[in-house]
Amino acid sequence: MMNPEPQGGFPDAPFGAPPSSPDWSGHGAHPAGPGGGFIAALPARPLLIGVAVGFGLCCLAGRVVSRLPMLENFRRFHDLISLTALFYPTASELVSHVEHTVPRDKHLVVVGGASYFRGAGQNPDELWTLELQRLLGDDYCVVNYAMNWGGITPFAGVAFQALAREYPRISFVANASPVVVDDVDGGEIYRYVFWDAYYKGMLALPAPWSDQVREMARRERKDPAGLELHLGKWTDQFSYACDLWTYVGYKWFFTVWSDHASETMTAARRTYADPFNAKLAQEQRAFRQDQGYVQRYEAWNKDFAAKGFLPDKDGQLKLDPPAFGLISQLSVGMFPDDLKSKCYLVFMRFNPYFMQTFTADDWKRHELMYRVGQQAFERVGYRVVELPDADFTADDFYDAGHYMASGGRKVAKAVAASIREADRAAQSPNR
Amino acid sequence: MKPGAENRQKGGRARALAALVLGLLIGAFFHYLLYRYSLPSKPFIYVAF
Repeated sequence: MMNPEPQGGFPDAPFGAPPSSPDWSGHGAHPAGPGGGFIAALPARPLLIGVAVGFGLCCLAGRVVSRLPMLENFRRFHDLISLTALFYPTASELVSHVEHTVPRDKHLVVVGGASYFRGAGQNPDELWTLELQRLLGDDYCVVNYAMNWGGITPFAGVAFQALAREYPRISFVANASPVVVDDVDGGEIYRYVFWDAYYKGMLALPAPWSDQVREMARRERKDPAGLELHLGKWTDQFSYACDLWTYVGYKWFFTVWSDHASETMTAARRTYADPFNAKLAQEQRAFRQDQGYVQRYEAWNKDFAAKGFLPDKDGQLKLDPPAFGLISQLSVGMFPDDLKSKCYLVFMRFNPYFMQTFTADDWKRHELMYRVGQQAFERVGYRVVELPDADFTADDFYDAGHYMASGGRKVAKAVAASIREADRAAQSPNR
Repeated sequence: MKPGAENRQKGGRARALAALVLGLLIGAFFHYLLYRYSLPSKPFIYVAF
């Protein structure tokens, strides 16, 4: 039989628990079950002290682990240590890994961008960033922080900004497009890293760039999702909760269920190796045989070749200089001025296998778009690395855009040449 | 001191210690909740690259 509910209060506690006396020293709770009486009999003051001390110790632990190197045998963020599997590394963890693995006198090369530069389509031992490291030599240290669906500014871009304060010789390499500019905070998926670094005081924030960042923060806080994110990251500068529990999840046991690890939910994420895929060549063939995929990317590439162009009165597509002026103007805000010359934006080209319906006009526009896009970014101080179509064959690609090992090696060669050339120019006495 | 009073004192200390330990766990749990609230309920993307 149910206990009758007293007027204006909770139902009477079963099993003879003491009645309510909601004061600081008494037993204000009505816990159910046989253990409830014991819990209700506990004195409130030590309990509250315990809550405060427990919370405080966790904050302290979070602060401590945020300064430790978390990632082990790290080469890239594979699926189980990425956001797709609900693994959200913090800005401090990205920075700490580098601080503990790369000496300050080395030239640090932080690689960012999306899955193209993460090395999707390449096995762990044939990653393009390993080739880049080999080509650059021991004076350089390459760290691959590219993430699926990343861009220029998010994730690795934040680590780069924070690390630029400590490493006098630093470069940032990211895949880019001649017609795409990223938000300062990297956009919805990865903005948590930027605001994590911002509230923890890890970013330099020189003026006038800082005005733009503060304005963006104000704007985002007007939206409920943005307010939640900012409140969470503002709190985290004190609690370091994300640092502690991400560290625990990586080192000892993971606490969040995800589709990618449904049978081994609690296994520490450090125990998962970057998987070797022996079927890359088969999968490459499958993409080419999938007519739906082919048609989709033929259409996508055609559409892409029209970006930055407008039809004239005869319906012919003509370059739209204001569009590239806008790209130039917007790209000013991606990074502070003093870091722009350290950014190598690598303009991605796509698999020619999926551009077979291109007409001569499409190719002409395509080339013009890349050339004018390069000028737009270079005008404001970024370095652009071009990957000419002529250098790549269809077999260098895994699918419509990701590189196989052979394509990765070509990208590494172009990037290494560009970094070396800039270094030589910087050391030249005629500067 | 009477044996009854001594037992009550020991019991009081044990309860205080238990309350403290429980409090520590609750404090850690609150801290963990901050982390969990920062995660999205679903990952942003389910496709594999």
